[in-house]
Amino acid sequence: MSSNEERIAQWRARRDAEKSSRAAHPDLPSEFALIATRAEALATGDREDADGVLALVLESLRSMPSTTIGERRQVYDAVARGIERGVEHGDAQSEFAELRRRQLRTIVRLVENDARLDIAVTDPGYRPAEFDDAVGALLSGYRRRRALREGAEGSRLRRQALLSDESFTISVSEEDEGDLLYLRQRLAVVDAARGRRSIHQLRPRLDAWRALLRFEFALLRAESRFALLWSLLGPAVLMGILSFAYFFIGTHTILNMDVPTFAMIGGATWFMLRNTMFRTSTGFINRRSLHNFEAVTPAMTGISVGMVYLSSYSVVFPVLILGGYAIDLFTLPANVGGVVFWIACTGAIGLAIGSVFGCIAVVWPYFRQLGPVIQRSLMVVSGTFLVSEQLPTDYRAFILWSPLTHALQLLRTAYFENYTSDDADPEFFFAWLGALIVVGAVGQRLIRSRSNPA
Amino acid sequence: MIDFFSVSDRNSVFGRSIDLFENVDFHLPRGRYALLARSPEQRRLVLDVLAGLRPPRAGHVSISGSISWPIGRSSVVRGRATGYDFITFVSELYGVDADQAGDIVTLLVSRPDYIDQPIDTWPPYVRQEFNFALALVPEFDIYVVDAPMPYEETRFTRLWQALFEERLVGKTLILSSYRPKQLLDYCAKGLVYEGGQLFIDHDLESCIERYPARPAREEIGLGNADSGQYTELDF
Repeated sequence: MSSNEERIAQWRARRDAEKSSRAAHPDLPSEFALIATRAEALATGDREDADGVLALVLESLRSMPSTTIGERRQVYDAVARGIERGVEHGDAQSEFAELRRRQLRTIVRLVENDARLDIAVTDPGYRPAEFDDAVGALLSGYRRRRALREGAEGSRLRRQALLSDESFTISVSEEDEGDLLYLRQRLAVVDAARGRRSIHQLRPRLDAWRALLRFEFALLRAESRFALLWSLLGPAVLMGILSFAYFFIGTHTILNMDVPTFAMIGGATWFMLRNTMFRTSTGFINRRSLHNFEAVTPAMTGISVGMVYLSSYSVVFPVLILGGYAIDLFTLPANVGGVVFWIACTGAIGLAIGSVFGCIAVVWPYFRQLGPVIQRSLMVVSGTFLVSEQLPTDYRAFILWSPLTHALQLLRTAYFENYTSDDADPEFFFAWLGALIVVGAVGQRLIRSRSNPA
Repeated sequence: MIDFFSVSDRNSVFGRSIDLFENVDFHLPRGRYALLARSPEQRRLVLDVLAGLRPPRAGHVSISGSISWPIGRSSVVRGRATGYDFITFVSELYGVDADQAGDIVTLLVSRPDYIDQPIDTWPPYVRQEFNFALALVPEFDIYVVDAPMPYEETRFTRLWQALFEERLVGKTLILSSYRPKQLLDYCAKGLVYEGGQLFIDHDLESCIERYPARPAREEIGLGNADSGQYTELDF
């Protein structure tokens, strides 16, 4: 295009712009109408900052032949008028229109102050000194209002989805979309696999027992190493004390039982019984966080804790017996099956007593403070130190009321070839065991409504 | 659905015995409910009975379908077990694959490096994320949430909210939270506990005004409402 044609094209464009400006703002002189028309774009622009507004104001001031206060006022009014027209015709949000009005008012104030101080506001490169601080505050306010509006709009849409029971789409960043997709797929796989499982009524209860026992084993593993070692050392220490006491008074055999093995059996069984009883009862209380799962009851947590500690003695007994035998300290059991059976029965009565204690502790929390007293009282009547046949006949009744004495004497009868307990009665023991199980079972149902999950 | 049949119950709040329910017959149909009460401690006790965690002293509570644990309750995730132990426990309890559950949780939480360490050593926000993340794995018919749901602008929150929204479709939600906005975002109706009775209020906004939610003592770190202690009988 030749330079002459360019000039003609520019003249035509200017003429068209003037014509449309006059049509839009017929009451304004053409130069102010043009300013107003150019300001219309500010109301719908993509940029939020005030630089565009400042540039338009300064450019308009420069285009005036002289800059009296009145003329400057006309320029500002033309810009304001253009913004309002832009707002009316555009689809600008009300917060954005308000931002533009406030930006213009602020710019007018700053420019006018400088102009009245004879600062050359029309010079190229002019920028009011407080411009950034003043418009920065406006912009942050605008962004806050917009976030509130968007939040309210989001809540409205969310509520709409909620009321029609639909999933509300939460937007995630592009980089997390892959993770979201992967998680969705994983959950679908989990759901599909779960749907194929048996839904027999017994299943959840069995699952809960299995889950609890595994969890308790994991906790036992997480116990301090010293605590685990003590389950081995404890019986050994007690055995040492008992043996020393008997040796001190010159006794090397008790009713044909060698003292070290007699003491070991008594000590290890007592430790097992004590641990099982008190771990079970404690499990009713200190596993309350697990009672937040519907399938888990206080009795389940108590018994599973007791069972896990009980099972650890399946290692403790062989290690002690075989280790002691290897150094010629202990004799081997005469009847292994009988020994295992009576150890298991002693463990069972430990679980039953622990359950009863756990129920009492739920209803009467102070009961827990009596733990040491109860423990020492039971130790005396547990047959750990002696068998009833060592006592005069008149005194035997003081310890034979206890099923623990019967269990330990029957255990020693199975262990030692040359000892048979005349006083121990399996029927008496099993009657106690049955009664304790019934009391524990009834008790755990009664206390459930009093046991709050943690 | 949850049904109460002639339910009466007593419990204690801060050592004071209260009648929680008095011969209540109540039917809770499927829907999304904001649990509201005069005090947050009452909300917790009511939630325990609603979720079948504690049977009432008299009467019967019937729950149709599977129900979650009180999601977000801080006492649920704690102890010496590791995160993986806990994932295995929950997976076995609800019959889901533990490896899959572990994958989902580790991908979701902000700090998966903590999961193989004992829970007691985790910072509170890691426990809370773990608690909410794990709740996504088994699908429940009734979701019980007993804490403010994740709301900070983080990757975890966005992903969790997106998945939880999908989980909730067609399900029941009982939300006990002290954040009114969450109650309005997630719940359609109010489930109000007042004077030993439960009722449903369809005007949730006015409900929230009448029963302004506030955090329980436990939620602001002042201990548990009931008198449970953790001393051991053993020594």
